[in-house]
Amino acid sequence: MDKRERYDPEDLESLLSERAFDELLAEERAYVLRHVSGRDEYDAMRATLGHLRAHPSGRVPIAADPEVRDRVLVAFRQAHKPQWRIWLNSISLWMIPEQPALLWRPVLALATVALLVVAGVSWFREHDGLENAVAEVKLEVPEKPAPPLRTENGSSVTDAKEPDADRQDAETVTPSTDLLKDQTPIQEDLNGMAAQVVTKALEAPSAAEAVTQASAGFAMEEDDEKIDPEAGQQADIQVAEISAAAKTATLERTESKMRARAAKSDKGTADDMTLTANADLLVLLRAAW
Amino acid sequence: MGLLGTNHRSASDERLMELVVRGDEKAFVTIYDRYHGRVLNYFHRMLWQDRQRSQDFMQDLFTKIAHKPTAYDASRPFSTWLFSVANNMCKNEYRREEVRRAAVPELRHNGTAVFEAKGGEAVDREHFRHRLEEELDRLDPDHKATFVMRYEEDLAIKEIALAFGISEGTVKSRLFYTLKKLAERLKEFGPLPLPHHGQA
Repeated sequence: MDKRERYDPEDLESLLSERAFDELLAEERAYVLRHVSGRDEYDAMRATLGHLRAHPSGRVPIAADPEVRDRVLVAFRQAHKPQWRIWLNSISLWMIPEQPALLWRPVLALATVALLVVAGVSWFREHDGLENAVAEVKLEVPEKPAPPLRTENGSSVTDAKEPDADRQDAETVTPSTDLLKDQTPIQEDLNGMAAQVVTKALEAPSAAEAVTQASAGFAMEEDDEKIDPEAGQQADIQVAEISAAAKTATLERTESKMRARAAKSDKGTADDMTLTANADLLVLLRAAW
Repeated sequence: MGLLGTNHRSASDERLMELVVRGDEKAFVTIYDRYHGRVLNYFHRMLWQDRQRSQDFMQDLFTKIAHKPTAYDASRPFSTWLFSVANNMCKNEYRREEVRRAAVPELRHNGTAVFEAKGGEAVDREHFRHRLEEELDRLDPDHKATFVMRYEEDLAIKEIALAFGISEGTVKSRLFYTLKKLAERLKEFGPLPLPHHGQA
């Protein structure tokens, strides 16, 4: 049996297309009459279907304006242009998602950030601690100065260390800030004393004469005191102490020089030059004592 | 896909939509060129032959696709999905039109189709088309859309069923009763020999 004759209820259109009412088989006609009232309705439906099929292109298709195409393309380009903005709303949605199951994403991200911050801080602190360790200087107790050598005219020379050696010590040792603060009064005293000596030296015709006068004065004092050995030792100790203090002051001056260089303030450095920073004047000071 | 990329002209609609989702403008242009005529004429038929309104609707439809191509359901044929969206837009317009007509009874949409008497077969054809448009506008929107898709857009019954989300039997039933109503209202046109067999 043909497929068309199986009387599928939805195949009435096929029957209308293929066969006139008189051409229907008895079974087909019975099926058709269950859906249509009779021959007239069947023929009318068949005629309408025929008109539809006969004029499939009866309507002239309309064409769209070119502007429509342009507007649609502009809309597409705007919708697909790269966007790098981050909106606050999106951040809040990301931080607090609607589905609780998605909370792992912000939690994981924040935990990662926290881990990175902790690791960075610990590394920084460790690195910073090393720098502090390098900068830390243990306070060196000044050694007891060696017995001063006696010169021919009776004046004493404190030790064999030259100012250059002092400078080297100053370069190798960097005083801590607390130590510098504690030594400020001593430094001021030394500066005052050094200023007096410098004033005397400047008042003398020359540095050699100043040395001569200082030595002579010292010798006259010795003569007046009848050359007391204990007094000489005390003087030597004082000279040694002054030398140690001068050494400390030299360190301070070196530090201030470094700061001054860093600040590129040469002028201020020149004004702050003291006697202790000048090796020749230091020798004069020692000779004067 | 060729060696130098996708041949857009020969690519399927579904493949083109995949490219559109990725922002391929050429794929979007191909889709537009392929369907804008059919969509425009569908709107023109469904929206009382209003050319300007049909163009606006066609533009809105493709703008929607441009803005949100992911709305396309890849499990369905693109043409079916496209006409289902167009049909939903027409339904919404029908509702708005009813509100307008209720508010202003004088607003009766008479359409823009102009019947011009020419003579002979052309007269019969244009007369029939004019009367058909009038009767289609009086039908239920779902029946009208089904009828237009079947007999104007030449969509298969299976495609219409997918577009509307209904069974094929429902489509056939709608077509049958629509044809029955139209035959009753278009009795003035005499019988015409069918040129070829139809397709179910």
